[in-house]
Amino acid sequence: MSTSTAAGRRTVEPFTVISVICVTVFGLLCLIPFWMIIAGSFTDESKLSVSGYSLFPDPFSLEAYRTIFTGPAVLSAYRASIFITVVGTALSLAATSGISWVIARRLPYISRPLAIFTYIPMLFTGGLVPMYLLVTQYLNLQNSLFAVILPLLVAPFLVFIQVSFFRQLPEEILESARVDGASELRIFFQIGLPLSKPILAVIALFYAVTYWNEWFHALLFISDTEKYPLQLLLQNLISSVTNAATLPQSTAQAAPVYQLRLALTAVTIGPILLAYPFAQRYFVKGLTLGATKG
Amino acid sequence: MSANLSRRGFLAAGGGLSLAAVLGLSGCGDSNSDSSSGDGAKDLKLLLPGAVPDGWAAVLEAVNKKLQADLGFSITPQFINWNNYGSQALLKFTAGEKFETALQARWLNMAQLVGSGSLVDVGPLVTGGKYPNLQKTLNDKLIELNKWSGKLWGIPQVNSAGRIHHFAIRQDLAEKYGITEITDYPTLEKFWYDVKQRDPRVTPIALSQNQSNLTCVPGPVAMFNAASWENANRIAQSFSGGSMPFFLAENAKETGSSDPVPFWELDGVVDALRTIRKYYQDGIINRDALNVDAATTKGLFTNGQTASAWATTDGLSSTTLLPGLQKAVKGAQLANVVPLKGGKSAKPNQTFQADNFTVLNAKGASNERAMQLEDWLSIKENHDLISYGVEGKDWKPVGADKFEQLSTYAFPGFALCWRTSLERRSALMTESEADWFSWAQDYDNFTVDTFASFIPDVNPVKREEAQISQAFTQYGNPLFFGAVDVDAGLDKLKKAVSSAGLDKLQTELAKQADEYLKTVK
Repeated sequence: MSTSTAAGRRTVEPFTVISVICVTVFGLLCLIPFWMIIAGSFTDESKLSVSGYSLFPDPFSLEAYRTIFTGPAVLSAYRASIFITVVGTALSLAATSGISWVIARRLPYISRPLAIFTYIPMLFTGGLVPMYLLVTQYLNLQNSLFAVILPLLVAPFLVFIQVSFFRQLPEEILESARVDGASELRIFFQIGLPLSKPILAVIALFYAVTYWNEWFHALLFISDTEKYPLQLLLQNLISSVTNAATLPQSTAQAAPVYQLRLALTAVTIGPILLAYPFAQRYFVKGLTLGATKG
Repeated sequence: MSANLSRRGFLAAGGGLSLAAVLGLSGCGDSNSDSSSGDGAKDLKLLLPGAVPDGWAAVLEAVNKKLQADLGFSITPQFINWNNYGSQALLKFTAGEKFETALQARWLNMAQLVGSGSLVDVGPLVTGGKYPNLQKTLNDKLIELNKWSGKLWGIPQVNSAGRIHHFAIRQDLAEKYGITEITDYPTLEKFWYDVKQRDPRVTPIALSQNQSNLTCVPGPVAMFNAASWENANRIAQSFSGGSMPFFLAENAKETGSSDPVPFWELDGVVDALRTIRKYYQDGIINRDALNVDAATTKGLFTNGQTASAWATTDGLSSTTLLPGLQKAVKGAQLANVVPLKGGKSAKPNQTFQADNFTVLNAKGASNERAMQLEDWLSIKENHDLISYGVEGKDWKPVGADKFEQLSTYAFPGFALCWRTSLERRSALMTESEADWFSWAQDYDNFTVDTFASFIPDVNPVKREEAQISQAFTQYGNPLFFGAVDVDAGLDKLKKAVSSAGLDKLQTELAKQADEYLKTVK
C-alpha cells in the first residue's frame, strides 16, 4: 500500500495532466479576451477600426487614455465612486447583517413578518416613478450621494444568504453566552459576527461590486457634474462620442471610438478587480455554506 | 423571558436608530435642487441632451449675467446623455418635476406627453405678438405645418427649411477618375464602381445600422432608389419612427381617399432593393452594415477607408467630416452630392415637420419666463453667445454670417435655440455644401406634401404596430442592406407583417388619413 502510494507520488496521473491542460486552456480563454481589451486600448484607432483586436498594440497609442483623463472631473468622479462604494458597502453590510440576525433568531411575531417584508421586493417593486418621487420629493436627496446608496442599501437575496448562514451557527454557543449574561447586542457583535467572517466577506464583495458599477441611480438623482460617479461620467463620455457621429452639433470631436470603449473597460474594471483577491479566501466557503444549509 | 425582552429592546433600539438615520440623511440633499421653491421662476431649469459642452461654465456665466441684466432671471440647464435622454425626460415629466423646457420630438415621447397633458400649446404664445423676436425667426409655414390637430406643442427647432438626405463624397477621388461634378444618380453609381476598380482598398460607401430603410424607401428621396432621385414627390408615412412605412395615394387631395399601400408597392422600391443587393454582392457597400454603428462609418470615412458618407442638408457635413479626413488623407477634398433630377429646381416634396421641438412643461414654474427665454435667444447676439460660446475664446466671426471655431465648445442648439435665420455657417463649409444648404433654407424650393401635417395616432393599433415594428426590423433590415436575396427576403417580410396585423394597421391609417384629408383645403 505504502509502495503504491510512493509510486503514485512519482508518476503523474493522466487525469492530472488532462486537468492541468483543461484548466490552463480555460484560464487562457478567460485571460486572452481580457488581454486583448488591454492591448486594444493602447492600439491606434486607425488600425483598430480596420483590423480589430490584436494581441499586441501596434501602432501604440495613448489617445484614448488621454481623452479619458483630460476629460472633465475624472478625479472627482473617482472620489464619488469610492465614497459610494466604501460608505455604501459599510452601511449595507451593517443593515443586512442586522436584519438577517433578527430574522435568523426566529423571534415570535417579529422574524416571520420581517422576513416577508424583506423578501417581497425580490418579487415586486414599487416601480421607478414612486421611487423617484420618494427620493426627490420626500427624502429630498437630489444631488446627494446617499441617493445612490439608499435605494441599494438592502439586497433581499443577500439577506436570504446571510440568514441561512446565521441559522447554521451552533445554537449551543449562543445559548451559553446567554447563560453567562451576554445581551443580544453583545452576542451579535462578539459571537455572531466573528463567526460569520466568510459570509460577511462575500456579502461585502457583492455590495462593493454593485456600488462600484452603479450608474443608474446617479443618472436619476445627480445632476451636479462634480458629484458624478465614475461609471456615469464614463457612460456620458462614450455616449457623446458615439452619438457625435449622427447628431447635429456644431462640432464633433474626432475621439477614438473603438479605442475609447476598450480603454473605458480597462479603467472601470481595474479598481474593483483588486477587491477580489482580498475576499477570495472566504469566497467559496461563504457562498457554499450559505447556499446549502438553511 | 429577560432574554426575550433584551432582544426586543435591541430591536427597538435598532429601529429607532434606522429611523433617525433616514431622517438625518434626508437633510443631506441639495435643497436648491427643488425648483418648487419660490425661486423657481428666477432660475429656469432646462433639460438638454448630450454631455456638458467643453468650457460650459464660462459660457453659462456669461449667459446668466446677460440674462439677469436683461430679464431678471437665470437658467440652470441639466444635461442628460443621449442614451438615457428619452427615458429620463419622460420620467421627469411623469413625476411632475418642475423644469421649464425640454427637447422633445416624435422620435422621443412627444405623442405620449401630448396625450398626458404634460405640454403647453405654444401656438397662441408664438403668434400672439408678445414675443416678437421669436416670432420673427419662425416661418409661418413652419408654424402651420408643425401643428398637431391645430395645436403647436413645441417650438420647432430647424436650421433649414427642408432636409434632403444625400451623400458627401471624396471629390479628390472623383477628379482622379475624371469626374468633375456629380449631378445625377448614374454618374454617382459610376463613381462608386470606379472606386471599387481603381482603389480596391477603399469601400465606395459604408452604411450603418441606423440607416435602415433610408436606403430604399423615399422620404422623398432614398439613397439607392434611382426613381426617387428622378421624381422626389413621395414621402412615406408611418405610425412611429421605427415602424413600417406606407405610401398614401398621390392624388389623395383630389379624390379624398388616402388608399395607403405598403412601401414595397411603390414604383422603384423593389428595383432599389435589387440594386442594393447587387451593390452588396459587388462590394460597393459594406457587408457588416447590420452591425455597424454610425460612429464607425464616420470613422471609416474620416480615415480615408470609404469614399462616400451619408449626409443631410443641415450644413454640418463639412465640419464633422472634413478636418478628420484631411488629417488622415493629405489633399482629400469633400463635395456634397444631391443627384436630384433637375438639381436645385427639382422642388422635392417636404412635410416641413421639425425633427426636434423645444417644449414647455405644463407643470413648470413659469411658462411665461420660458417663452421670454426663447424670445431672448432669438436675438442674434444672445443666440451667438449660447450657440457658439464666448466670442474671441470659443469662436470668431468670419464675415457677417460665418464663424471660425477656436475651441471644442459644442452646444446642442437644436434642443433650445436653432433659428434658421440666425445660424452662422462654419468657415470650413465647402462650396458645394454651402450651395445646397442655402437652397435648403428657402421654403420656396420645396413642394408642400399633401400629408404635411398628418400625425397618425398609434393608440388604436398599438399592439399591432409594436408587433409589425419588430417584424419590420427583423426581416426588413437585411433587405435594406442587401444581405439577403430580394424575392425570398421580401416574401418573409410580407408574411411576417401580414400575420402581425398589417391589414388592421393599413385600415386604421386609411381611416385617419381620410379624416385628415377632410381638413385639408
